Amino acid sequence: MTNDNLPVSLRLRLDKALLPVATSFAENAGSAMGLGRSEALKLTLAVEEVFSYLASAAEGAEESDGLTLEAVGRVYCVELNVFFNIPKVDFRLLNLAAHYSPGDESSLNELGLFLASRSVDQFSLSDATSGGMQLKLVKEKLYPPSAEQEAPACHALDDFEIVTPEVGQIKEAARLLKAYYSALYLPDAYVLPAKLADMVLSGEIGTLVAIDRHGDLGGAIFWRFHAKSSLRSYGPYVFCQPDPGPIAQALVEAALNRVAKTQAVSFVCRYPTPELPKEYFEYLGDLEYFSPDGTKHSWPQFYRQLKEDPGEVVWCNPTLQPFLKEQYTRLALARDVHLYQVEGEKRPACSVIGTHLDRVQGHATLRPMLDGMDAEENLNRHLALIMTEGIRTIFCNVDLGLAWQVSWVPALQEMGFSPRLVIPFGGKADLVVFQHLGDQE
Amino acid sequence: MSKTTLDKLVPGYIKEFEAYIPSKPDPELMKLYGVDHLYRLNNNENPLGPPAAAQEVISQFPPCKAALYPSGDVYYLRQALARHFEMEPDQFLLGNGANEVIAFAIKAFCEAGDNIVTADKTFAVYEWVAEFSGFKAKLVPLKDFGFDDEAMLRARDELSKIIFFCNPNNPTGTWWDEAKLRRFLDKVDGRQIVVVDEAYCEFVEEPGFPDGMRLINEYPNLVVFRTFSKMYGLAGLRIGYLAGSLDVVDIIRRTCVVYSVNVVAQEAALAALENGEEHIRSTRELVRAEKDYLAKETARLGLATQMDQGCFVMIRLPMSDTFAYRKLMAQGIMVRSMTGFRFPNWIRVSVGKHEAMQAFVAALESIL
Repeated sequence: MTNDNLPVSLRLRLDKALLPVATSFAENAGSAMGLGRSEALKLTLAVEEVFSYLASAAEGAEESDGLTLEAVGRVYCVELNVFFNIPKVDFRLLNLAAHYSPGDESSLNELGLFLASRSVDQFSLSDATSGGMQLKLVKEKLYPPSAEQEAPACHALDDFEIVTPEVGQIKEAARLLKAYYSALYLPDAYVLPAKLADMVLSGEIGTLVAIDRHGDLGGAIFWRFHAKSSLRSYGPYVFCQPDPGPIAQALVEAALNRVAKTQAVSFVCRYPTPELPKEYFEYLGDLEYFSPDGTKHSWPQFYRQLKEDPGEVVWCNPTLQPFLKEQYTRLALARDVHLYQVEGEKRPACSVIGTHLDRVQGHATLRPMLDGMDAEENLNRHLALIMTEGIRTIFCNVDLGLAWQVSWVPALQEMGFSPRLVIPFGGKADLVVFQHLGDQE
Repeated sequence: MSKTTLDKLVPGYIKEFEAYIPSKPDPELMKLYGVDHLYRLNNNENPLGPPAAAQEVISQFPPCKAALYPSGDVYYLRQALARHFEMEPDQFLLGNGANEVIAFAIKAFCEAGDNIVTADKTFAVYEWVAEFSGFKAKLVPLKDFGFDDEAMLRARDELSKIIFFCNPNNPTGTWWDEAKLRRFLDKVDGRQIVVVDEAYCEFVEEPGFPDGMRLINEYPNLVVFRTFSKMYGLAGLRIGYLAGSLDVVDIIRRTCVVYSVNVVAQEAALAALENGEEHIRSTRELVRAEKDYLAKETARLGLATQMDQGCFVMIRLPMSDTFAYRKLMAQGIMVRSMTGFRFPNWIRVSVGKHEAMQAFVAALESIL
């Protein structure tokens, strides 16, 4: 991690007169942190719309703590966090499946949010650790299309060592990945060699490679945090080796040693290659992936814990109880399970769902962000929208650390989602991955 | 306090440091895993407890004395250590466990930009204390499970202030003999402080094993760590110490927190030191017999081991060590999973009484 990660921040009143200050901050921070002109302006537009919307919402609120903008440069992207504390703000137009009707007066005020969410590459909404809420907007650098460069020469290595790669080796590894592995094993972030190199430089992705004394590559492994206590790993990828076992094992051991003393508790293999040495991992379950021609491919998922299990309190909807009990017994996980279901208590009106579309892999993942009475309807809208895009591999992650997320389980099951596996410590607590199988099972 | 404000107050090396979370108390763990007993085989504690004389001191401790501060510099115990090792009382500094004296040494010799040198797969506290104090820990890979002397010498630079070396090593049990330690100290030639952590030295019966205390006069840059937690069975009272030349200890004393060793620990340690011979003999006998038993049983199960000196054994499993930890916990057996020591798929088992070792072997066999 470099010093470029040091955030810059601006605190200001939620007063529309200060809008130029907020937009100027976003534009200048975006440009200074590496975005091109066009991307910096899109980030600025997002901030402009969010600020205007929140300032309008604050006018009706009894009290407001103002707003903090915080920009962090991450080499391949700029992350702009908006911290605020305003009760009863309606965020429904942040939903991918939300639609704005020009003739609808009531949604006119929220048009800005609709625009904001679509002018950045990622957004997420969560409770801020300091109280109030945090809206995270991420705008990525625009990379030129990767040069049609051939993959570097690749041969069986007589001997090898595991090292942290230089930029050139990261880009070579990206080209070898593309040459020797099907798209199934490559998350979208890894398609552009320069972007992958920047993500490693930013510290967001960790990597190790196997090289021989001439510097020729024989394999690679990658990992990144996807929750506070959970790392997601990719690989191990082994190139051109008659026996991939020794390099695969060495890469896994070295990666585990590298992350053993971080805050990560679990190391999840969501993109395991056939070379993964299974004896280091625990089997979580299978996910089904559908290719565009409708072929179904079962993909086993693995994980291991990096620390001794400290136990965990989890929420569970009664309909999920048999599945959880089976999984926790099989994985020998000590869990204090508390039941939760909606019984007429007050809930916000509108829910928000985060959607990640991986167009390279052809799958979508839904993530509940805010609870609302319209959760079931909202899920249905998202499902329909994703299916009209031709994507048939659809997941929904439910965090058992948040009771309100567990209350969505009956709706998910009603819609044809089935619990497939539990990722220990995958969210605030354990994460259950549901998959929409509909009539495909 | 906003996140941004807090960020400004916290040094970068603290932000990147991950706190060690110790395991929950036994009753909580038993409740969590649904077991009615728990064999603790994870912390290398002495299954025989403290020596009888120390037990007597503890049981006779007058509660009203708890209102009084202890001796701030552990006066009587330092006198006793001096007699025991034929050194000067001022050559000893006591701490609230040996972990505390690690911090004394690092604070005394390191300043901004400095580093320490140690191994990647050894007792982690040297590395932790250095890193959360803002100093780099240069980690040298073990060679054949042992400290690699030449690689450690090569790892030094002009900013290296302390070399930490654990003899015998925890968790591998490997050790350097006196000739190798002398060669190493000769090559260091006084340019760094060399800390030899002898936490498990009382378990070693090998004739060539060096007594660091006897080398201090010859090598004034040598600092020896010892503890009352392991052989003397006083882990719960937290008391350990360092010894070195008068000049070096005089420097370290400046960073030493006085009054940090409680009065029961001081008195029990004194009794243990002066009346510990029979206890050491019994403990060694038990450790020897149970390590033989574990060697035989692990061989029967086809498991590789790393078994050398000390009251512990490493076992390589054909499965994730953290998974094995949970499955063993579900049977009331608590071992140390070794991923955190950078030995994935290995566990470390502390030697316990035979009943505990039998329970461990049965549980291990059931999960393989």
